[in-house]
Amino acid sequence: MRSFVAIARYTFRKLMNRKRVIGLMLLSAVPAVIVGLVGRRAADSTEVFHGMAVGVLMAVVLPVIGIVNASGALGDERRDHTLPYLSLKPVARSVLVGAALAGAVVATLLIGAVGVGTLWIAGGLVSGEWTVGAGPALGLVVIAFGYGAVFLPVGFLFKRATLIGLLYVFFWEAILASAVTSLAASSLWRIGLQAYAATLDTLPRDFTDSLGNVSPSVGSAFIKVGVLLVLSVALSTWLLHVRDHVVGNGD
Amino acid sequence: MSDVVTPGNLTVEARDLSRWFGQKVAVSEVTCGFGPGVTGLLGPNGAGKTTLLRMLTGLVRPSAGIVTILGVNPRAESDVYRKVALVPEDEQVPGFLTAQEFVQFNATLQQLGDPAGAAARALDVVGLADVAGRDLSTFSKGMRQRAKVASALVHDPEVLFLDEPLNGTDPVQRAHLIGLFVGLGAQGKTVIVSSHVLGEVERMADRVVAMVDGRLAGVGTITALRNAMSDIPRKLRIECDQPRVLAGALIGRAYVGGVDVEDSALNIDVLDSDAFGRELASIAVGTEVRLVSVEPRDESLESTFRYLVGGR
Repeated sequence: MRSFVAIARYTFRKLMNRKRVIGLMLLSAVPAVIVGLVGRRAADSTEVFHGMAVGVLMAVVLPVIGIVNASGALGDERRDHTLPYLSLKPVARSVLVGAALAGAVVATLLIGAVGVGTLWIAGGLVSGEWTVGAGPALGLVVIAFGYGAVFLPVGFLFKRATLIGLLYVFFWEAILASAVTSLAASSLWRIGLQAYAATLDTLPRDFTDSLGNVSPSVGSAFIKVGVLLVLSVALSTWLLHVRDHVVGNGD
Repeated sequence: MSDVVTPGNLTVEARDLSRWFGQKVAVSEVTCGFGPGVTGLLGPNGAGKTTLLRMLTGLVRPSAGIVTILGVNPRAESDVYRKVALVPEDEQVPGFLTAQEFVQFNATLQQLGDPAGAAARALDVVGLADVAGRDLSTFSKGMRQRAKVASALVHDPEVLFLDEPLNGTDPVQRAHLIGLFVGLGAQGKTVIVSSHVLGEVERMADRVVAMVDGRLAGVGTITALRNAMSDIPRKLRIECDQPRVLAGALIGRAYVGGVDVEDSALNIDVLDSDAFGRELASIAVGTEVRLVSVEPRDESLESTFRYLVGGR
């Protein structure tokens, strides 16, 4: 347990690099700024809030934060040649992987919380409705674990994991999964939306369009993410067994 | 400490070890063993030293062959790392940690009882106690090197792999670290030092493993390696009171390749050391030459290594 906490803490501190964190936090605050500016003048400020929460925060901002953190957790260590400081230790590979994943997820939750929190405040101020933030908060948790699970092994395997992640977000999720209803289930942020939608009595149009054939359900969302986490730890543990822990030819 | 590595005291073993990266063969069919004491892993740049060390430690997967440390495959049993440590060549360290945090992190992963105390002691050993609270990102290359050594030593490993451990260190630090590694070898630890600086290895190592182009070029003590090169004339310097007389007596003998006379000595290339050794004394007596000393001129690690890598 001590090793798990130590590695998770190490990973978290590495990912909370000051410049990167400031950039991601500014990015995550963008939806709140837009809601603050547009919400008061809108006929239905709650709809503006949900539109920003779904269309910008959950579909773009949180996935980007999750991808950047998860792909860097083990991948940067491997490419920076600092993975030996973690892997040449009497620590089970699965513990190492689980701890790195935990560190990345906590980093995503913390940075993402700035976006959710500021949006919550902006939504509450413009609509007078202070419960609106619960759904995005739930979505953040699901998204942090979901993207963390998928992009941890991707980061270990590919140098350009962040680029791969951005292509996935902006091409697969934004275009293909939006256009083809049956592909909605392959979109990670829509798992977060599935949990978010379950907190609402009536679904705004944005939600039904984005969810496609996915039904609102908190339990289902967490089960999916749980399966992804198990698969991710198993795959990444296997990768640590079969792949080199440093990239490059050496001498 | 044993001078000779026998199958009984092997702690690290490589059998038919190969690694290729695409078309490039970095290490080819290397079989060698390491035991207690300091062993130098030598080779010019690109010889495959780092790849071999990475395979030995379990960082890199062999394309073929087997590695065992203390009898187990390090990639299969991570528990072996309780007794193993590596100081990697790479300069990168987690710059966001202080030296104390960096070493303590390893102590924690090694599940030591008092990680903070162990880290403080290890930093003291490498002379970094005064700067333990500083971020590694502010350290010079030599200080980072010493922090890596402290981290590697914190759990008192049985087997220590050092990849160019003296890079960036100043002469005082270098002497201190060399003394430290020699001391560990004398305690019976297995210390494997990869370096391309022959003088450093010569000061540390009892034994060398030489690599050239990914292959093993020689294994043994420096003297044993030199002795094994029977096809290369041995260069000797003989100090005596009548070098010209002695040169005259030696020229023409089958085991003498060449003679160069100086004021009070002669340099001689010997083709057959055994025959030369048997006859020198009687020749000196017969010519009434008083011998002062007979010294090898090419038994340094540098000359031996030069022969091994083909620059004969």
